[in-house]
Amino acid sequence: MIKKNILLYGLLSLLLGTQTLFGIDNLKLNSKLDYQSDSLDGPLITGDDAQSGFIPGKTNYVIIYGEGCFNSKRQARRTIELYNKYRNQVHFVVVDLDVKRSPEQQQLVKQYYEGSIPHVLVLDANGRPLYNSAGEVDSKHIEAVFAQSFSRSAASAK
Amino acid sequence: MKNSVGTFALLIATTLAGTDTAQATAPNHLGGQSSVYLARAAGQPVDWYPWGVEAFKRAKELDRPILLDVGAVWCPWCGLMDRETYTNPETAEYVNQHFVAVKVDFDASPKLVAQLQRAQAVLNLPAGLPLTSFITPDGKLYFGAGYLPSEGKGGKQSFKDAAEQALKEYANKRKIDDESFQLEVAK
Repeated sequence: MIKKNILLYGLLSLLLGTQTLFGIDNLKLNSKLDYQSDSLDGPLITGDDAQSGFIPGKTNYVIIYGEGCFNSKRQARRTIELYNKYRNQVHFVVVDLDVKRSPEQQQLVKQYYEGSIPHVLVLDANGRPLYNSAGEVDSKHIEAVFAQSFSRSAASAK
Repeated sequence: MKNSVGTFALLIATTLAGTDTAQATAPNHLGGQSSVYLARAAGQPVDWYPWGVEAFKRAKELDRPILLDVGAVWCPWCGLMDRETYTNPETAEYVNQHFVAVKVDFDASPKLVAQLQRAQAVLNLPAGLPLTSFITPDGKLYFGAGYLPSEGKGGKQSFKDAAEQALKEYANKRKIDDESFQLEVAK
């Protein structure tokens, strides 16, 4: 009976297109961002459960940013474009360095952040970094990394 | 000949007057810095030092924490802190009485800034720009913030509140040993 309920809930979640079971959802770009300067307009990206960290069993995309950083703003915009395209396959983690962070996010910061923003990470389903670099990165490159991660997962599932 | 003596005297007087003016507008240790961000703070009433051995030595002599400000010429919030906080005579007097103040240009010292931003990130402190850090004389970063308004507003800590907290925490050496980030500091 319990198994049946879990299955039903899972199916319902998929049908509704929600990822509440898996972490952050409803990612949105702050509409007030000024792309003409390094202004401080608050969090660049908002969403439900914005403090979520790495989730195993899925490809994870992580952006570590600072609110007043022009390059972070541009990468935040790309992040939302990627989210809108891959939200069902990739878990998105948004780490805002201007606010207090959860222990799960701090784990990522301690392990990967070297002191330059934005910092982007793509981790495969086992948590291995496939992309780990400071600075802006073209979405096409990240999409290629996603594809690599998906094929790894598919290969290990066989 | 008389004219030459007069000219010479005038030259000496002008030079001396120039020195006085320079001292009046540059009461801190940032005079002569090539960085525009540091040079523009040379006239501030805060007794700023550039990052280096001298500042840490002074902090050790006085047994005071270092207040470190990292900013950039293109950063509007850094400029705001300079205008609102560090040029305020009362705040400057408070800073000069309780801290050794150090100013760093984000663009001129990328390695140092990366180290400082990583330190604050690891300690779960704001790690953007401006960066306001509090450091022991032996280089342990133990507290910090980002932009701090002169008056607390919208739930944001004011500069004075943060500075008070930093002084309180500085007294707790054991806590600092447990929760701080050791920076690479030239001795």
